[in-house]
Amino acid sequence: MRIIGQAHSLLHGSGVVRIQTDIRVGSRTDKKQTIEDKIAVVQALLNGQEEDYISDGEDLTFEDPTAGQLREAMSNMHTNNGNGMPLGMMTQPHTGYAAQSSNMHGLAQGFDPAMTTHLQHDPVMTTHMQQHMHNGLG
Amino acid sequence: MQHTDLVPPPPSETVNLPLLATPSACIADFCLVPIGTGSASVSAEIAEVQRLLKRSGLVFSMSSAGTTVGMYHDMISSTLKMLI
Repeated sequence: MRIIGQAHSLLHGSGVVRIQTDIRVGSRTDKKQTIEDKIAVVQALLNGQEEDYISDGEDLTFEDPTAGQLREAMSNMHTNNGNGMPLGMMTQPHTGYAAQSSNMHGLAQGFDPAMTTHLQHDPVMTTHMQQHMHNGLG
Repeated sequence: MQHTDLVPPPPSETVNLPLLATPSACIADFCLVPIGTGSASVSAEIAEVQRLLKRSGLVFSMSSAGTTVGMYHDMISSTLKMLI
């Protein structure tokens, strides 16, 4: 981008004789997405996760599954629409995993208006996340 | 990996490179580091760049390790022609 070249020229003009810039560029053709959009999706997921714990009235500390179970669960989130969740994960007392799996699967597909609709009708959708949606943050 | 994998394919006859446009919208994250200033601090130079970005009208967001710049579809008509 030209603005980065201009940044180099600006600093060279200020006496900096050598400048190194690394650039990562992302583009996509399936949707319009802003910087804020990308961050808000993750933030909504994090906020929703916290809401789950709080609304259940349970302790914030939960029984961590073993690393192997967690790895398997995360793999299933991306491949099996959350349905492949190990039975043990579904019966965790903190209730978070079943709810997160459906949302996270959608996130893996990208975030679009259809996804927003899905979340708004999702019974596990939290009030906090809906607030984000309403504010256009998610 | 076989050696032949390292040989670039011949240019496609169906693609005219001078006419091949770049994406109309993108988000770029860049990390600019001045070298040889005699100081380990880069804050003064980064501040200059941030002032430049602010004047550009682009959407940008600085973090502790770089700056993200957005070039969106709705900015193309006005800003793109001026900056890209």
